[in-house]
Amino acid sequence: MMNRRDILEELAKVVATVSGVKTTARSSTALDIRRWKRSELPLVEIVEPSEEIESDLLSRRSIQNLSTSLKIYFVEWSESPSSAYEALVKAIRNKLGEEFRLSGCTVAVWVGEVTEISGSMPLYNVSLALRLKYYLNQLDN
Amino acid sequence: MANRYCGFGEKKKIVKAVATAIEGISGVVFVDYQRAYDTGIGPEKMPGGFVNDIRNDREQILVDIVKNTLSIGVVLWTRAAEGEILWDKIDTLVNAATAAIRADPSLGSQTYDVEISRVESDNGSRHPVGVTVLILTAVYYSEV
Repeated sequence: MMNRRDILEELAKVVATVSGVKTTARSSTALDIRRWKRSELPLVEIVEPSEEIESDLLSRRSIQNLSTSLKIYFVEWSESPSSAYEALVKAIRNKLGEEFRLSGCTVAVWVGEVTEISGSMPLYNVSLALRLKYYLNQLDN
Repeated sequence: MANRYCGFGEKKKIVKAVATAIEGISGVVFVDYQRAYDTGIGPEKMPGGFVNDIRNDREQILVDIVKNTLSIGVVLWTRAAEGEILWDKIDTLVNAATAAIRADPSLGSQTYDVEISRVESDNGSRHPVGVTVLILTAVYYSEV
């Protein structure tokens, strides 16, 4: 049966396979990017998700929605970041489109809003909102 | 606006570049480092300048990227000859120093930005010698 822990682990594995991503890191609180080296970037932070029930089903089962975001940190020695980050965002979006079941852990993954770039030269970040849907069996151990 | 230098710099090279800019001012005969006027300064060393590393504020960006905000004090002095107006001489020297520093805000591809954040002049108590200080704020990036 599907569960939140497996989903997030699988999400990290899938994102790590995207060409150009050097590090993936889950964060339960704000990630301190100052502890990372530039050789470890681009780094994708998987922000701890919020969760809500979409539908209650029979036998203590439900369809759950996880809402999280992928925050991509990257270094670029320019006041105007090039399109390299757009290519990375697209590669991540494409990968999640291909692997939207996350090895059977989810029913679907949707990429939602992509934020504007934050930060300042040379460290920038951009976030992708994600919604993941899965079946929860509350009787599972 | 010209593109800024985006890369790593070294404090030693930045201070040296400021000194080189001051040395290049027409008429300047003496430049030294980390001193205060007026120890050992005679008329033969006028006009002249000292370049002083005052303070460096560090902001950790990554383990191996540090943003540095470096304050540099440029102490300049000049002397008015008989019939010359000291204020004019000081003003000319300050303008020349400002132009020299603004000519290359990257200070030889070392700094992201340099601004002259303060200019102070003495109150005339040393007349016919006048002393003025330019405080520069230089932002540069380093690996440690």
